[in-house]
Amino acid sequence: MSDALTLTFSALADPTRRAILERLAAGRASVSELAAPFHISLPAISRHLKVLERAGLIARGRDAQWRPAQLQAEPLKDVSIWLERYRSNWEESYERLDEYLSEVQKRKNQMDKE
Amino acid sequence: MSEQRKFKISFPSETELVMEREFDAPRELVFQAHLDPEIIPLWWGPRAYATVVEEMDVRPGGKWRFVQRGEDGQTITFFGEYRLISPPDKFVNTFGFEGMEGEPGEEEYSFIDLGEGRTLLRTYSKFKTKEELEGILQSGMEWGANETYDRLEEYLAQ
Repeated sequence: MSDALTLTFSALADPTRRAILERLAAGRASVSELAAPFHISLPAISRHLKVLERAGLIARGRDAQWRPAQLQAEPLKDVSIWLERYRSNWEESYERLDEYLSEVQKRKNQMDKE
Repeated sequence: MSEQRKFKISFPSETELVMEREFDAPRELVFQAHLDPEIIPLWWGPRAYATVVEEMDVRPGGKWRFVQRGEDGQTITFFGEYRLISPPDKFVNTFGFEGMEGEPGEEEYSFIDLGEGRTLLRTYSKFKTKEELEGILQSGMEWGANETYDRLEEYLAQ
């Protein structure tokens, strides 16, 4: 496992940072635009952006007034593909478990009625 | 019933993984579905894989071993050891797969009664190193390609 990937992984471990990345998937945005949906301060958002930038997940514009953040998908690719696959495997298992649980309860209800 | 269920994966730290999922069933049933060798093959793993329970000795120190065979004949073996069995609200086991790096991590399954016949399952996994946690996520890659994966790749390729 490369250190770069570990850095990516830690950056992704925070829900606010993941939400920021989701927002950036829709297009680049300024700090205040990114802060709008969250109940946290601009400096806090800036700190999150620094972590994301260090992990290479985003790039910041050069303009000192308006430094829009932009998603850099490349480092995200490996980790998020693993995570998505892991999630979908479990989600599929749990859907099957839902079916089993619903079936077994239906049978039990019928037996109770009889 | 086909609406998206609440399913959450989170990382409290670099070596911890938490999954949460709600079920429309009392916790005794959800608990039993995890520790009954006859029920496991009905749901454990993706649909494209047939799961065979080779060993399932449900008591502290007892071993478990599930083999999954894909339609292409490819197999993946998962294994571990039970550490604590406390029905209907908790059990702990270790979880590994053949070919993994490092040692199997420990998983704690908590079954929380939400009332009205609903249950929240929380799976807490603790690993010795962050590499081991990443290895477990990678284990999902052993399974064959699926649509979700293809869609994600398309999205990331944009």
